[in-house]
Amino acid sequence: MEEALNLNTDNENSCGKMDKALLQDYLEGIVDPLLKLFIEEHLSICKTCRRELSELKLMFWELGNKNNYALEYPEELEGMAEGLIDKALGREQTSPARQIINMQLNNIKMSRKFMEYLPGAKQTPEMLKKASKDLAKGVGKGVRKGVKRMLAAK
Amino acid sequence: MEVSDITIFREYQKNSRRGLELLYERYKKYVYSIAFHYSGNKEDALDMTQEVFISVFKAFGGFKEQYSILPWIKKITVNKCLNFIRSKRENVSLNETNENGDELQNIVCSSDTAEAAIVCKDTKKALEEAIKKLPDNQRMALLLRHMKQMKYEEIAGAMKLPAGTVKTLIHKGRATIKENLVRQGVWEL
Repeated sequence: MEEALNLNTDNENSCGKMDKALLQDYLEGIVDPLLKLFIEEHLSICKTCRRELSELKLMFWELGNKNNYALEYPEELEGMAEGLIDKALGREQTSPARQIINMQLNNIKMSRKFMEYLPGAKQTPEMLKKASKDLAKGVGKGVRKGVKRMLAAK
Repeated sequence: MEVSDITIFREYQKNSRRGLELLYERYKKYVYSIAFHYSGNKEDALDMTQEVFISVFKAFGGFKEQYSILPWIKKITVNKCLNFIRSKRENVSLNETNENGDELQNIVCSSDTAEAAIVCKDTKKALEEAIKKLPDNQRMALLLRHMKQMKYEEIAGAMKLPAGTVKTLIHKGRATIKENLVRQGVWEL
């Protein structure tokens, strides 16, 4: 009650008998019943405060109107999670995409190791080289022979 | 589909990455909306959202299941937003003198100009601008009260301020916004 009687003369629209903050509390329904009676009594005789109350009501409506806070969520918001989680969890935890890549790299590594254990695998490259050389030699010989025969036949 | 906090905890225990993904999915819009209305622009809001979630993710392992996640996230969001704007202001303080001068000019500019501008402004825009002009603490308290419908005690907890101070901040913020909207002629009274 004492608070309500505080003079508030800092605003030209103030009636000087009502603390404007009280009108806000009144609208929110958080004033004592006795104070509520006092405010209503004052409102019935004070045009300035009634106007103030109307403006406050409109403002409360605007502030409480969800449409006024409607916003478009940017695409970046969707894609941010993965990087943030990586950052927070450190390197021991990785993203699904990274996990797949790691899995593939691991597969290649394992298949290389497997090749090393195949019987004769170590000699394979040299044998292949030799075989290809011999093949080339043989084919060359054959072709030359063929050409000679063709020329002789002529 | 939105999941409950319990599901998030259970998933986190099985697979921390999956748990954090669900946590992000559930609260990203909540955090971003506060950050956006507080900062007034997309870039800062995204930066704030990132900072909030990095802290949340890092600390989530130590978070106890019996508590609900939302109040905890609110607190982190409020702190990050307040600190973000503070540090940003410190970084640009000296170079922004012109901009500040302009703003002051706008504040004291003739009503003719203001009145001309009102015509094309809708209420949403006017309200956004009025909120943007509030001091940081008032803006945050007011957004939590009206946009997120938090109680005074909850706001006090999130902002680490006494409830009385929060109430005063909100009163002042509302009074400033109302004056601003009246001055802009948003309502025909």
